Amino acid sequence: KGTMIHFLLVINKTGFLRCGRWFVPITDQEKRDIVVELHRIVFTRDIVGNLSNFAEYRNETLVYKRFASLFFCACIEKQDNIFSTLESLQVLVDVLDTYFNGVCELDLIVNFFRVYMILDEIFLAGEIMETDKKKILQRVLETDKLVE
Amino acid sequence: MSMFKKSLTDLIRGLRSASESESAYISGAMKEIKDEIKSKDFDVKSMAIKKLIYLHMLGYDMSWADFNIVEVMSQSKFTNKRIAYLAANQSFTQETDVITLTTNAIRKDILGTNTRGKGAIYEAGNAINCLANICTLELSRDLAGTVVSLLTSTRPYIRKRAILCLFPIYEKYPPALPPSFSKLREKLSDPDPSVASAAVNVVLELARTNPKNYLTLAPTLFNILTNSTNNWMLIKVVKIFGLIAPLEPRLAARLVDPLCGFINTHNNAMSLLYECIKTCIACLPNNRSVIRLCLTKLRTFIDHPDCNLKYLGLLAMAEVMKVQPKGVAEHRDLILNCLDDEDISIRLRALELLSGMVSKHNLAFIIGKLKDHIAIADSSYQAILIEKIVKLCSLEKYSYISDFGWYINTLIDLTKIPGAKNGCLVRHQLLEISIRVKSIRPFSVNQMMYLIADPNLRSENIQEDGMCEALYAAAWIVGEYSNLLEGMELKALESLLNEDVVSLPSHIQATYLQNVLKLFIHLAENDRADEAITVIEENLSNFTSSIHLEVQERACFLVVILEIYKEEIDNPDTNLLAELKEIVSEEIKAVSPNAPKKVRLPEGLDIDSWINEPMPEDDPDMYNENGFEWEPQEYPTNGDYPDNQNLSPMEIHERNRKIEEIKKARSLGNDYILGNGGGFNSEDIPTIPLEQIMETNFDSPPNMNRNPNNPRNQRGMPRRMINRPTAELEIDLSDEMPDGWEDMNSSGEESEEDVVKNSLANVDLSNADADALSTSAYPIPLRTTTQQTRSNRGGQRGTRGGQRGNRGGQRGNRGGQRGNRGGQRGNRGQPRGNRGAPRGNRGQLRGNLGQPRGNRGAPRGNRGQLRGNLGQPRGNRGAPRGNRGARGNRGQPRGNRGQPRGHRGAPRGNRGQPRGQPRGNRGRGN
Repeated sequence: KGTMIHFLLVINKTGFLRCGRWFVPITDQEKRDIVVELHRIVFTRDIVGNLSNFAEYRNETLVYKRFASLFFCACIEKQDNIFSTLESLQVLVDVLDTYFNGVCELDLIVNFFRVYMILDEIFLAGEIMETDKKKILQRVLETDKLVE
Repeated sequence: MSMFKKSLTDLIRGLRSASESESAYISGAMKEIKDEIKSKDFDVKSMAIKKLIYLHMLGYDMSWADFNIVEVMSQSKFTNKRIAYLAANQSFTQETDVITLTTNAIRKDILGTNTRGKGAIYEAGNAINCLANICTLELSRDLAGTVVSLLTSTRPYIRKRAILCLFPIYEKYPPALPPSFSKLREKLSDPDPSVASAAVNVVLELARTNPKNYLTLAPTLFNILTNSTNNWMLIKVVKIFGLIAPLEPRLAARLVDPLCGFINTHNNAMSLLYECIKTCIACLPNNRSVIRLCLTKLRTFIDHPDCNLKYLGLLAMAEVMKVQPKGVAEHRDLILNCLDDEDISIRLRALELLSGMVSKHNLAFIIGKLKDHIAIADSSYQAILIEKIVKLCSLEKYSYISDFGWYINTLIDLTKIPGAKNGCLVRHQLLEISIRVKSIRPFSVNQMMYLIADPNLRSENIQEDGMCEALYAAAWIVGEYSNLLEGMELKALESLLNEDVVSLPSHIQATYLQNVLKLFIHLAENDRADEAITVIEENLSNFTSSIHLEVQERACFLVVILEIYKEEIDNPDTNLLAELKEIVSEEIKAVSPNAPKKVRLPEGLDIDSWINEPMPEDDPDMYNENGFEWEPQEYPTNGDYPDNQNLSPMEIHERNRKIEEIKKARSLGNDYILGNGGGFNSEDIPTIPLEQIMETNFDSPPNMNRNPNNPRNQRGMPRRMINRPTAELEIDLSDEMPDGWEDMNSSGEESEEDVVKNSLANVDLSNADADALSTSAYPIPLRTTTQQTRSNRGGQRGTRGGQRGNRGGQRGNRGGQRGNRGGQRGNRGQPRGNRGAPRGNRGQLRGNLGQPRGNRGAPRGNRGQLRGNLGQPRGNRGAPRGNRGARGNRGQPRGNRGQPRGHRGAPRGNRGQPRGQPRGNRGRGN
C-alpha cells in the first residue's frame, strides 16, 4: 500500500456506490464490505452534524465531504495530509459541477463513465495529478469530441 | 442502436422503475449482456461491457467478462477502447489471468502507434492510467522501459502521467528504479508545474520506503521549497524534508528559515501550515523556539471553532508529544475540553494525548472525567475508554497513583458497567496490584469479598472478555490472602460456592474451586474445619457434575481431599494438615515474562537434538474425526489394547501425548468429555524414558531488580494517602529473574523484520547515474530467473517452518518426561501412597495460580517451566504448565493413578466413584 489515496468513493445517502476507484488491490467482496462500512460511518456522522470531515477507518484516515445527497470519500494513509485531500475532493466536485452545469446525482448515474474520465484527469495511481480546473475541463471536453 | 436490446439509459431507467423485482430484472439484463458480449460487432460488445460496468458498481460480478475486455482493448476505435480500459480499471485484480494479454495493447497505445491524430495522447493517457491501476509484476517488468521512454515526451500531459505511473511499477518491480532514477530526478525541475509536482509525488512515495536514498535530492528540493508558489507541490516537498532531514542535521538547520517563514505567513493555506509544523517537529525537536512557535500555532488550531482545524491540531499535538511531552502538558485545559467534543474523531485524538498530560495531581480528575464518559458511550468507545483508564493508571509503573485503594475502587467501578468488555484487563490489574502492593492487600481482600458476593456480576455480562473475568481475580485474591479475611471466611466460602457460579466460564469456576480449597485449609488451621466441611459439602454437588472437565475434576478432587481429611485428621502418625498447608505456604511472586529467555543454557544440553528416534511424519489420514488413531469402540474398556505390543515406548508416549493435547483442547473449548475416553487407559502406559536434569542451577532463584540503577527501584514511593486506612504505598516492582540471567540485546527479532521489509527500500541508488548511462535498452533479468529464486525462497521458508514444528513437538516430549520424573520423586520414600496425590497435583494448582499473570508461579513449578521454555521466543507459559501438570499425573507409576480414572468415571454420573478410587490406590501404594 504505497499510494497516498487508497480508494476514492462516491456514495449516496442510501448507501449506493455511484463511483469508485480503488488504487490498491482489493477483492470484490471487500469492496462491498467497505462501501457498507463507509456509508455507515459517514451517514451517522452526517446526522449528528457539525463534525469534522475526518474519521478513523481501520488503520487509515477517512476524508469525506457531503455535497447534496452524495458523500465524496477518500481513504488515505494516516500520515498524509488530510487537508490537501479534502481540497482535491473539492476540485473534483467543482469540475463535475462545471462540466454538468450544476451536477446532480442522476448526472453521475447516467454519465458514470464520464465521471471516471474526469476522476482520471485529477487522480492517477492514488496521487493528485492535476489541480488546475481549467486544464482538466479542457482535456475532458477534447476527449468528448473524439468520442463523437 | 436498435441492435441492442437495451441501451445503458434503458438499463438505468428500467432498474429504477423495477425496484421491487430488481433481481429478476438484473438477471434478465445480465443474460442479454452475455449474449451481446459474444457479438462480432465491437460496438455491441463494448456497449455490453459498459452496461456491465454499471452493474458491477451495484455489486454484481463481472470477472467472467475479463477476456472480452481484453478483446475490446486492442480495438482501434477510441470510443470502444476507452470503455475497455475503464472496465479493466474496475474489474481486473492482481489475480486476473488474462492481464498478461494486455501487455501489447497497452504498449501500442502508450507509444501512440495506432493513431497519428490528435486522439493519440488521450489513448496513451488512458493506457498509462490503466497500467497504473492494474499493474502486476509481469506488466511492470515488460512495460517499465516503455513508460520511462515517455518521460522525455514533448507533451506535459503524457509526462506527468508517465511519472506517476512509475511508482506502481517500482513497487511491483524494484529493479526498474536504479536505471530510471536520474531521469526522474531531472523531472523535479520540469518547466511544467504539474509535471514537477508529479515527480515530487513519486519521490515522496519512494522516500517513505528508504529516505536515505534520496538525500542527494535535497538541493533540488530546497530550490523548490524556496521558489515555488504551488501549495500542492510545497506540501509534498515539506513532507519529503520531514523524512530525509532527520537523517542530516545540517539540512535540518537550513530548513528553519523557510519553514518558519511559511508558519508565520498568515495568508497561507492551512494544509501547508500543518505540514510545516509536522516537519518542524520531526526535524527540529530540540530547537525550542521553533517548537514553541509550532505550539502557539497549534493552540490556535485546537481553540478554533472549526472542528477540522481542531482535529488537525490534536493530530499534530500527538507528534509534539513524542518529542516534547512537557510542551503538550501546557495546553492541558484545551485538550481536556476536547474530550467533551461531539465528534468521536476529535475525542479519540484527545484521548491519545492524555498519556502525556497526566500527573500525580490530576490523574484522579482525568480518570473521573473518563468514567463520566463511559456512562454515555457506545460499546466500542466504552472499550477504548476502559483500556485508556487502565493504561493511564499503569503509566510509568503506576507512579502517578498516589492511592492504590482509589485505583482498586476505580477498577471495581469498571466491573459495574453493564455489558462492558475488557474484563481480562481489569482482572489483570486487580491481581497485579494485590500481588505487588502488599499494604493494599487487606483493603483489596475486603473489596473482593463484595465483588464475589455481587449477584449481578456473576449472572450478567457472561461473555468472552466480559467483566465476569474480574471474578477470577477476586476469587484468587480472596483465596490466596485468606489470612486477611478476618472472620469472613465462611461467608467467602458461601459466595464461592453459590449456585449461580456454575453459569460462569469454566476457567473462572475452576479458579473458584481452587480457592475453596485454600479457604478450607485456612479454616482447618484455625480449627474451623467442621464448619467449612459442612458448607463445602452442601454446595459442591453443583460442581462435581459440571460439564466442564476441569471444573469437575477439581470438584471431585476436593471431595476426595475432604474425605481423606475427615479420616486422617485424628491419626497421630500423619501430619495431614501440615502437608495440606504446604500447598499454600509459598508466597506467589512476580516472575519476569522474559525470565525463561534469560536462563543460560546448561552445558551439554542441546534442546534441538532428538532425545529418542524421531517419529515419522504424521499422516493426517491416520486419525479419525475424533483425532484418534483408532476407533474407540474397537477396544475393550478393561484397557487391554493390542496395539501396544507392536509399538515402541516412544510411539506410545507420542500417542498419549496427543491424546492429552486433544483432551486439553476440548476442555478449553468447553466440550463434553469423550464417551469412554477412546479406550485409553492409563495403566497401560509402559515406562516412559526419563531424562536426567541437573538441578543445581535453579535451587535458589535470587530476587533481582530489573534495573538496580533505576532510581525508582531504590527509593520507596512517596507516602501520600487520601483518607484511606492502609498505611504504606510500597509497590513491589521487581520481577524474579532466574540465576545467571544476563541482559541481552534482543537483536534477533529485528533481523526477521529486515527480511519482510519492502524490497523497494533495499534498492541501492548510489550508482544510479552510472546505470542510466550504460544502458539504452532496459536491463531486465530473464523472467525465469526471478521466478526461480522466488519459488526457491518460498521452499526454504517452508522447510524452516517444518523444522520449527518438529522442535516444538520435541520440546513437548521433554516436558512430559520431566513431569514424570517429578511425580516419581514425589512418591519415592514416602511412607504413604496418598502423598503422591496432593503433591502431584500441586504442580497443577500452582500452574493455575500462575495463569492470571502468565508469568508467575511457584519456584518449584517454575523450575521445570524455565527449562521447558528454553529457546522458545515468547513465553506462552500458561499452556505448557497445564500440560505438565496433567502429564505429571498420568505418568506416575503409583499413587496418582487414581486421578485420571477418577475423572473418567465421573462424567458417567457416578459421583461416588472418585471417593473409592484414590482410596484403593492408597492401599496399593502401601
